[in-house]
Amino acid sequence: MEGVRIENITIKYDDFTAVEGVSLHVKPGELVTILGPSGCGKTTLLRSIAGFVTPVSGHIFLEGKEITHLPPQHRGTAMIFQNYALWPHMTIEQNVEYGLKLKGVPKEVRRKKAVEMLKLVKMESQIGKMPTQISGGQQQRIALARALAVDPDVLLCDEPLSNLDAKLRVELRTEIREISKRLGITVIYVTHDQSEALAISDRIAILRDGELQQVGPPLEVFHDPDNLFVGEFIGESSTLKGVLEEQEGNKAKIRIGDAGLITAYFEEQLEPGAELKILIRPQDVNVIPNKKRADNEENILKGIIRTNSFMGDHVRVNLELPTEERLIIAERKHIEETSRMGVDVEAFVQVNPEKVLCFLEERRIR
Amino acid sequence: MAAVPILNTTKSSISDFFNKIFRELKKDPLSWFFILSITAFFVYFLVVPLIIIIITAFTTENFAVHVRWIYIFPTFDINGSFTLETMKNVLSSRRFIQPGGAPLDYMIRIESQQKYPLTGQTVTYVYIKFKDYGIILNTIIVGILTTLFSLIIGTSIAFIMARYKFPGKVIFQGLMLLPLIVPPFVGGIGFSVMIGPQGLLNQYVFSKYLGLVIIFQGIAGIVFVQTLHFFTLIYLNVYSSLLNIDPSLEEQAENLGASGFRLFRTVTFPLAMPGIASGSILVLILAMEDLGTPIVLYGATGDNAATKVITYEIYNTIIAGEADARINPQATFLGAVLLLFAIVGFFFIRKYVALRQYSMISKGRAGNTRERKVGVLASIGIIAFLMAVFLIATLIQFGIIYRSLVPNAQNPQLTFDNYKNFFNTGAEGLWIPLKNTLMYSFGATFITIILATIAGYVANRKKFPGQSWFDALLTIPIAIPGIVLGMGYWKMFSNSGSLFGIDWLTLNPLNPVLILMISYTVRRFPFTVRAVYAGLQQTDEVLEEAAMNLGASRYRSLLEIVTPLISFNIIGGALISLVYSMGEVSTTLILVLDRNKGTLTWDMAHNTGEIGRLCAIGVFLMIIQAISLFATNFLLKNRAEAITGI
Amino acid sequence: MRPNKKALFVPLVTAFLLVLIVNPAQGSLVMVATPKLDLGDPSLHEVKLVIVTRHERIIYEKFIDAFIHSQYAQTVGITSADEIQVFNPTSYSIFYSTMVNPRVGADIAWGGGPTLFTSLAIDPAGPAIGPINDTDLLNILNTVVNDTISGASMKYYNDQGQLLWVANAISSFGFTINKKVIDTLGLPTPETWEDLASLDFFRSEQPTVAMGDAPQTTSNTRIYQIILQKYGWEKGWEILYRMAGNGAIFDGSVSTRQQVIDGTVAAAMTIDFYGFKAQMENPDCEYVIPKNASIVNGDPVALALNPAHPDAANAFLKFIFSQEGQALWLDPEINRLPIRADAFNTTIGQQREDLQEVYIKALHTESITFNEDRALSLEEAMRYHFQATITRVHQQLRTVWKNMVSGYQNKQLNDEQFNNLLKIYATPAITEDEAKQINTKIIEDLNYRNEKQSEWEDFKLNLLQNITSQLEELGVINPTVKEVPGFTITQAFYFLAIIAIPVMMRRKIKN
Repeated sequence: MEGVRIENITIKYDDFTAVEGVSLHVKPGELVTILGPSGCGKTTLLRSIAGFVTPVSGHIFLEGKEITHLPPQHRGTAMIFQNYALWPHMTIEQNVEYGLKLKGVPKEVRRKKAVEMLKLVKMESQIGKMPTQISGGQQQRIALARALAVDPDVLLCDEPLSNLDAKLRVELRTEIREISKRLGITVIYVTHDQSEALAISDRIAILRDGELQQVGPPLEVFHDPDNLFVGEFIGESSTLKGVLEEQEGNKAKIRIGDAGLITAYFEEQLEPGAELKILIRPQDVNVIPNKKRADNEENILKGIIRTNSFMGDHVRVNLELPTEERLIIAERKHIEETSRMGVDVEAFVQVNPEKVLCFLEERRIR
Repeated sequence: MAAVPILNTTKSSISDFFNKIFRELKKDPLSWFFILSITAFFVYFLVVPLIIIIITAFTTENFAVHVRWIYIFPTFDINGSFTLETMKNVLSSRRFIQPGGAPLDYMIRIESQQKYPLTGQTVTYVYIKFKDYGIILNTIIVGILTTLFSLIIGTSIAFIMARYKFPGKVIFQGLMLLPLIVPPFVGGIGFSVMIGPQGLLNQYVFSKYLGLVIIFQGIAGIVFVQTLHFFTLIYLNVYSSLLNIDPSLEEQAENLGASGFRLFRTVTFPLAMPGIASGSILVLILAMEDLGTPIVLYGATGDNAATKVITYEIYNTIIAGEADARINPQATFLGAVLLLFAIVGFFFIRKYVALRQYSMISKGRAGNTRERKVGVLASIGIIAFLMAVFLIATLIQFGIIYRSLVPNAQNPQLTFDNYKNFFNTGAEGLWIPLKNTLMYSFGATFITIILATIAGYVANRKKFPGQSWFDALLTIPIAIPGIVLGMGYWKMFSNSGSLFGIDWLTLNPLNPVLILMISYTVRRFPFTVRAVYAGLQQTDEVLEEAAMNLGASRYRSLLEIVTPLISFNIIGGALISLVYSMGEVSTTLILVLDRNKGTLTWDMAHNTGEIGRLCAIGVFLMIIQAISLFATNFLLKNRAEAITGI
Repeated sequence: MRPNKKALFVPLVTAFLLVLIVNPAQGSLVMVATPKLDLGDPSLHEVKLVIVTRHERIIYEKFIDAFIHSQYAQTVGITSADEIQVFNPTSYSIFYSTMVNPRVGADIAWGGGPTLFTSLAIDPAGPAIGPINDTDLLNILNTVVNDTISGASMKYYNDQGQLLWVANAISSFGFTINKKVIDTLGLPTPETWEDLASLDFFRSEQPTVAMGDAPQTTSNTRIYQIILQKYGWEKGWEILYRMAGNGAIFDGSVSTRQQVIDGTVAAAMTIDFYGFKAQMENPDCEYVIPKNASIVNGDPVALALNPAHPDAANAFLKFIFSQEGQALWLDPEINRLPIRADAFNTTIGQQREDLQEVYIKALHTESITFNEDRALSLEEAMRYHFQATITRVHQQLRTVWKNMVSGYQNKQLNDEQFNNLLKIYATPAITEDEAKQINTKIIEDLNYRNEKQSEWEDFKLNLLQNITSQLEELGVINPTVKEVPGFTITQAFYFLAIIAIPVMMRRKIKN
């Protein structure tokens, strides 16, 4: 079992390069999500694995066999689509067993398998219905059953949940993961929704303008992004401009203009005066209720509160720094006090230096 | 030594090129097979015959182009040399181009104090005739006038139907389609029955109440007949155009202050222009290609002036001449001229049809009509206008039905003989022509369904270089004058060796069945193809991808997934092709020489004098057309495109 | 709906197949598409006789049907109509090529008129028909078929004195009148061609004579040839031009006949059996053989040059010259005159007294002496001349004739003036000798033909314009006529330009 190996794939449409030099190895049984903003080439990449698009250069291997130029029907992939693509003139079980019919599987055998698959997606009660008679979420389940019925070497999912409402999305994404794990199927999943990606993936591959930015497990890409794009794309964050004042070993002091001085930790030795970009997640900043305490602490930034919203379990504060940049804080500890502070008042916040991510231009400084 | 690197790169790029081609072929061999074979079909049966005609028009000898088949490859032995003589002769001959009009000719001639034979009254005869400007100019004039009048009538009706709401509107929407149901020849007959010298109108209305006998002659007659049929084409096109204009475009303009006529002139009309333009050009082409009307106006009323058009001239020199079956070089030149008009027109149509898309921006709202209710007076006016148009247009149909039952104007007697004749298997009977008509049309439609579905699919779904030319090839037949194609087939398949070493494609001796079916297939192809396109546009490609993904080849998916989903479209398009095939005239008249192989239309052309017989056949064809029209309206939502074929 | 779509397919396909397979003998697709079943090869039924004919279907069907039930067919083993193959070409060249095509294996040529058959005999590419050699048959033919009837040849021999074609039926040529129309219009009942051409037969409100365009009908051509030979070239053309002025030209003998049946004209040129048909369809119609101005035509039959089935061919010939065979011509659906007089003594024959009357008339009509060779020597030239100077310019011809006649009838023209104009009106564009000289070239060279026709048409139009100017000079105006002459293209152009230019200027100025 070798999974899917994508080597240096480049895909062009006329003069436009949709995917550039992407390599990825999806291990058997893994669920890898290709994540990125609209137009980043993730669907194109997926379709090239499926065979609907031919790369200009590079190779794709599935279970050790090169499939780069094979027509879609000979690849052994199975795909589920954003708009389900169920055939309206067939019943749902006919839809599910179609792949087996193409393989020449005899009627009783394939019917049995279809029922089995429908049970797996909890749709056996709908047998006999036409696709137009069931809801969107149900249709996607059928599509899943249809794809799994042919025992594919890899399941390809092209933004399958984008047309569904939020609640269904959460429900179905978990089911997709559970079922595929249960069957041990390799899954390549494409989405632009990062919470979806974070929730179900073994690894996430982030794509931007056709180029692979980073591949890694959710925790890793969240906490340890390789570049600024990944850092900003995954999870919420604020990016501030800073200048390195001094560095001692791995401890660095960075000045954020008139806002303050903060500490960050990184091994790479840089020259003082280096212009850095600082990424701070909202949950890694705290509001300091009174000024006095603030004077005694390190890693304090000051600014003016511009919005102050109570969100139930935290208060969301938008702080305008003297540098005119904005810092977003999710305050969980001093909820009431922070809330009471209102807006257009000066406030002090403390940044957790261990959570500060530093970047030189795009590149992450570790 | 710069030569070496260059050589290397060219060598590698050539081999790259071939590699790419082989890879492409290997990847989807079936598609390429279809593309190539369908292209070959059209090349043999459309392009080559037309090229032969064009070559002949500019070559000296009578048998200028002799097709010799080396297996499946046509080679042209050209005797004689290139010459512009024929062209010069035609263009300088007064017969063909006479800008001053023929001598002793008139536009209108009024003869008073004549005794009208049918009633014995003293009346004034009014002969309305357009001057004869020469065969080529006449043809152009017929085209322009017909288009102009059809445009005026058709656009007004379209606008009324699209923008106003009035009682009885739904009925009129159905009624307005009826004038479409005018099979060939029948228009001319109906015309002469109603408005001929002995027509019902003259006999019972004009002579009695107006003391006039109105006689349309020549070009005027042709234009009259054609307009009554073609205005519906324009109406359909413009109506569909108007309906598809995004209402928000007009609303925005209104919002900014434009209204009424200004709104119409600056916003509505320009947006509807593509539909108007494409409809008009189509009518222009069809009007110039009409063979049936001149034949029947001449046969029924002896009106020689009606024959002074290109189509009749070609027909006459080929067929009606008793002495020979060669093709007069003048005829081929005329054919080439007609062909030129048609092809140029066709490409303009395509340009405007493409433009049509721009006015349909947000399809979601297209269903919302901007209908306005109108006051009582306006309603009455509208209904009166529509009734008038409808009545005049259907005068022809009334006339035909009447004459099929009461054939003799002198001794009016009701008889069903002409209908009983359909079951008469004897020499005078219509059973054989009926059977032949059904056989050829069904055969052709059968071929068309298969080829058009595959061709339409390939042209629409597969991306390949030359796709747009392929599409043009499939749809251009609608503009090709049948008589020119018929001439081309004649030259190609008669007196020349046999294709594939088999006799049944040659016209010697007298066995045109298969080639007739092919000619119908080719000529009616665009209707089915367009219907297939429409269906494919409504079918998401994703459904095929899902099937291919699971292991279906592209064509298996076409068969099992796509075809069932567009079956209504295919059937609708095929139905239209079928019905139009049943009424095909031009190639049938040229290729069928044996009465036993003739179709109903062939029979009509050879019995132009027998009005009752002609009308009965006409009624039959009308019924078939009507049934098909309503069936396709039901099957295909988008009327204009499929019915008109653009 | 969806699951039932397959149900639609089955009946459709079945219907299609049924249509194909029905009546294999009559050339359905199944037979056509399998080359094995094609001509000359052993087919579903073995072909034992091949006939190439210009007779209508009703004729050959009835004859074939009677033939296979006769002893003649039995002697050569023909029992079914499927064993006889019939070809029905519509033009001379196809007739010829069918006769000589070895794959066809033609045995007999039947029907089409003496001109066609003589041409088949003397065609420069070689004769398509061959001598009749069967002694029995020759004896029969000697007995029952005269060499001439009323001066017209019923047999044709080649230079070696061998019999090439024999008339199997006869026709006369004349015109059919519609008595009701004649009454209504107050016309004199015509008895001969000149009557049709006379001024008394002119009515401005309606054409009174229907004539067929010569190149499109062999029977009407024959009529014109009769007129030209009876009255001579010049006077003959005068009659033709006058008839044309009185009447209208139609695109074939059938539509010509139809006009008189429908009553749109008072008289139409018809061969006799078309006349009979008209009579049957409309009792107001009556066929007239013009006094001293008709001929009897024999409609020939001949053997192919190398018949594939000589015995069967001879048997068929014997049948159609037998008394029962000949009587078939009198069938009410056929209505033609046999060549054997004793055909009228059969059962069918006795019921057709009407045809017998015509037969006797035809035999005793003082026909003109008709010179077949002379006719043939200029036939094509004459036909295309007709087309160019009559058919193509008919509208102008009639208009001018109307003006002339009304001028004369209104006493604005005296006899002398009218006759001078008439001379101009009636001038043909070529002389008889010229016609003979160019005849072959007219047949062979289409460009030449186009040229000459163009020339002749112009010639005629010039004559007509000449007359018109003379009428104007003489101040002959028809008080009842007003014409709107209309514009020329150039005028139209200027007119449009005058409108269009300001509009375009306006747009430019606005911008």
